Amino acid sequence: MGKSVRPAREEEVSSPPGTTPEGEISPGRIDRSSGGDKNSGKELLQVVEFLLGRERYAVDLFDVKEVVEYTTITKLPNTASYMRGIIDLRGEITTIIDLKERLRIPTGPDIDEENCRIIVLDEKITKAKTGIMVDDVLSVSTFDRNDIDSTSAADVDDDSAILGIIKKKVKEKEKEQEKNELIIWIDVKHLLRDMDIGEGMTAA
Amino acid sequence: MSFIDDMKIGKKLIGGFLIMVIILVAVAAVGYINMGVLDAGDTALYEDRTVPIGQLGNVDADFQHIRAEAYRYIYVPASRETIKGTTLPELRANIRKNMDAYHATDLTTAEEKVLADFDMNYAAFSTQYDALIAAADKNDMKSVDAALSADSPLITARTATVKALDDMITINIDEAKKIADANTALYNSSSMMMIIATIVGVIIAIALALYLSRSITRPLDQAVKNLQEMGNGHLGNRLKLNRKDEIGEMAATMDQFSEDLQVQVVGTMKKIAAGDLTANVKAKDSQDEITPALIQMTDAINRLVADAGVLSKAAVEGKLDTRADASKHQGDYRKVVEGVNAMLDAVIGPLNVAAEYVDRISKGDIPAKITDQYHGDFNEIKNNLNNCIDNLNALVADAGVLSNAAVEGKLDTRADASKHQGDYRKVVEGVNDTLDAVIGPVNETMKICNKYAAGDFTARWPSGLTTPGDFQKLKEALDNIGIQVSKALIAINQQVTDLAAGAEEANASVEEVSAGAGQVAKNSSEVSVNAEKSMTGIEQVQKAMEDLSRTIQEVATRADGTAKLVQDTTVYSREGMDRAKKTEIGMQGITRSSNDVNQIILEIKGQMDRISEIVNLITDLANQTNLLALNAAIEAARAGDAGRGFAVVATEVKSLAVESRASADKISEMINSLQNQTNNAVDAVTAANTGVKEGSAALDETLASFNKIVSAIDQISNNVSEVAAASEEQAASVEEVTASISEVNGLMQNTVKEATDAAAASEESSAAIDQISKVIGNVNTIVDKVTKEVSQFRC
Repeated sequence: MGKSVRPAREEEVSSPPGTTPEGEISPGRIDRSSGGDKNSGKELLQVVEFLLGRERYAVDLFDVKEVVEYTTITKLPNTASYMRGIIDLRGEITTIIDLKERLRIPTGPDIDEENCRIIVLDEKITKAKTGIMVDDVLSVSTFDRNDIDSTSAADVDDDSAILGIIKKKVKEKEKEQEKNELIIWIDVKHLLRDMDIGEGMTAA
Repeated sequence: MSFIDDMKIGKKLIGGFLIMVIILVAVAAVGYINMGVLDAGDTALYEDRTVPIGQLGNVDADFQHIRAEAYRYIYVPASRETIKGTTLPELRANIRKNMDAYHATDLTTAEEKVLADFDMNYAAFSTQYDALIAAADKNDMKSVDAALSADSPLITARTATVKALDDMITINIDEAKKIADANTALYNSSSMMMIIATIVGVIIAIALALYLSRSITRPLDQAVKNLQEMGNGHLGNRLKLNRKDEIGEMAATMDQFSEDLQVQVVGTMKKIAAGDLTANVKAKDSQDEITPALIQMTDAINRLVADAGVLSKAAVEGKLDTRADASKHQGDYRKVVEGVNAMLDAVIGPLNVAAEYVDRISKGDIPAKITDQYHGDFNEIKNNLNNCIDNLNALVADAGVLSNAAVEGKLDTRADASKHQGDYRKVVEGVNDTLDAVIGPVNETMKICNKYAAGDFTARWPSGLTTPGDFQKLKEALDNIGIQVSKALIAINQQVTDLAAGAEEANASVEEVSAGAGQVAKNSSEVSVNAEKSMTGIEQVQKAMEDLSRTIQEVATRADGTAKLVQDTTVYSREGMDRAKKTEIGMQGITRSSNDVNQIILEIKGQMDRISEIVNLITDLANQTNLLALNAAIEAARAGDAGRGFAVVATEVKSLAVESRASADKISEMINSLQNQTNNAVDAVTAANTGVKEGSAALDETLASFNKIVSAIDQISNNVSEVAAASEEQAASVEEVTASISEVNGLMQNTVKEATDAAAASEESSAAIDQISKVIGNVNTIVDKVTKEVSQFRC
């Protein structure tokens, strides 16, 4: 029972936005976003939202290939602490990086690894097949560039690889008023660059 | 509470058990009724709330299915026939069926309102949906897009329908929660009632058991103590229990018995001991053994005293041949009378023989020797009499020889004096001396007489010849016959005076004899006094013996009665134990029933667990669907324009997955709360079981109380045995009897001593008789002398 209770509560929080963008991601909008990505002045950004600890994060949709469930990870000796190991994904050896460990986010005691998700990254940006381990993947969302605050990210250390803060409007169910939810937008490529995988990619 | 004391023990015990059974039934009834109420609550919870929730869940799932089918219908033209022909009607029929079933349940006003909303919105949705399908059939994608865009009538109707469904589920959950809370409150109150009823029942049962067992054991203890006191001979105690049950009757009988023993028997015995033989007691009935024994004892002692009085009076009066009739007495009394008779026989025979012999000797008729055999001092009397006869015979023989010789003129003849002793020898020597003194002068006288015969009257005594004493007178008589004759007469007078003195002596001796006889009489009276004392001693012996036998008999009778009562009490205790065991069987039946209830609740719990598993499976599927939708969305985004339509589907699928997971979570919450209720029900049944166990424990305690009663009865038996042991102490009285017998022995020795005194007196009397004989001898000698002198004068 306990297994299903925790994600249910998080899902409840994400459910209203899940319902709200239902209208937003209408075929018309997507049409404009894909078309206006290069041409239009009103830029749209498509991201994959996910959860690390209590905070929401986002990565560029085009850096993501797919999301898979957690499977047993085989550990590798003599590697950095954020290198969780490797898994066999449909016959391909995939390296798994623990993003929380990498970003030094403290792990809550009640997190069950079995409920984690693995975001498999696009092969364009990696040398070998790579996945990042996150607590949960929430949704695929489209944002206007105006909703992204990149200035505050400039003050932060370069190592954190933060591209900006996304302000997401959330309609609270009970109070019927809008409120901004902050999502941390990170650069996966930058993070990978610090590691062997990313650098190899750049070299190639 | 004296009416309980007055109740028979059996009724008392049966009443106690009935009260306990009533208490147990009351406790069981309270538990049973409360369990029935709880069961009704559970049934309502299941029928009115749990089933509708399932139906509503099905409706929700079907509705979502219809919704999803729309997209499939739009984007997968190949499946349109199947969807339109089969799937949609089936789903709609299912929704209608479930909603009708929900209509049929007991609905609140709020539910009815929401249900009306649902019906309205569902109808609107169905109309819009059909329009959408029609548009799709015409490939009018603009109308389709318009219908699928936000705030379109279709979306609004769908949202409202989903909301109405959610509201209905929420209301049902709330109602279920209320019923569950009511069940919990009911369980709490009923468990409190059970606990109070059980505690009150246990307290009443324990108090009753304690009171009953005390009301039986306490007076029994008193009775046992009283019996012990009676066994020790303390008859002053009275129980005075003012109650009417068996114990009260026993106590009253014991009091009456103590009273009889103290006043009648012991009082009478004290009177007899004080010498008052006039005790007047009457036998209670033909089987009374105590009083007749007292009367018999009094009669026997009276007869003995009467005979002893007759014998002692006769002995004092000298009637030694008087005897008591021993056949009138029994046992040791007869031995006493026979002993006194035998003592009189032993004294009187030798006394008669001695008196006869002395009488004959005094008359000169010397009898033959006594040849009869006598014992002890009587034998000495016999020997002395025989000696006396021998000596007298020898003396008479010698006297005869001498007198014959003198008669024949043979004056030379002498008796042998050495053959005689004492005064007898003096007599013989005197005779011899007399003859010696007589023979010379006689010879001279004969010479002178011869001369006188020859005519020589001048003849005179020669001067050379001494003429001592009387022979001088003889000479002078010869010289002067007249003077001699007168002088001879003077000598005769002299002898007569001697004779008179001898007679006086004889008289004195006879007086001594009479004095000796007096002492014999006195000793005889002492003997009789001693005999009286011995009789008194033997009376005490008899009394002690009777006391002993009677006391032991009474103790045995009482011990038998007590043993019978103890047996009755054991029977009652067994009956009580049997009843308690039956009650225990009833308690086991109650336990079995509550175990059955427990079993049913456990089955319900198992079914709940299965439902949870299914819900988990749904949750799992929803998660998978969610993941698939995410990946579909990613793929669609990456595909750009080509994936535009697919992105919509992915989003819908995702929201569907999210909603089904939310529903599944709600159901699982509900199941959780139902499981909590079930656990509460299990707890309630467990509490009921505990109550029943406590009742069983109270029963066990009751059984233990009975065991205590049985052990108390065992103690009573032990005490009865102690009473029997106490009767052994009575054997000590036998030693008293022995002491009394030795006293009698001492008295008999006194009697023997007195008899010895009597013998000494007899010896004295025989000495006196000797002297009498001596005097008689003297008299005889004198008579002889006189005769000789007279005959000399004739010559």
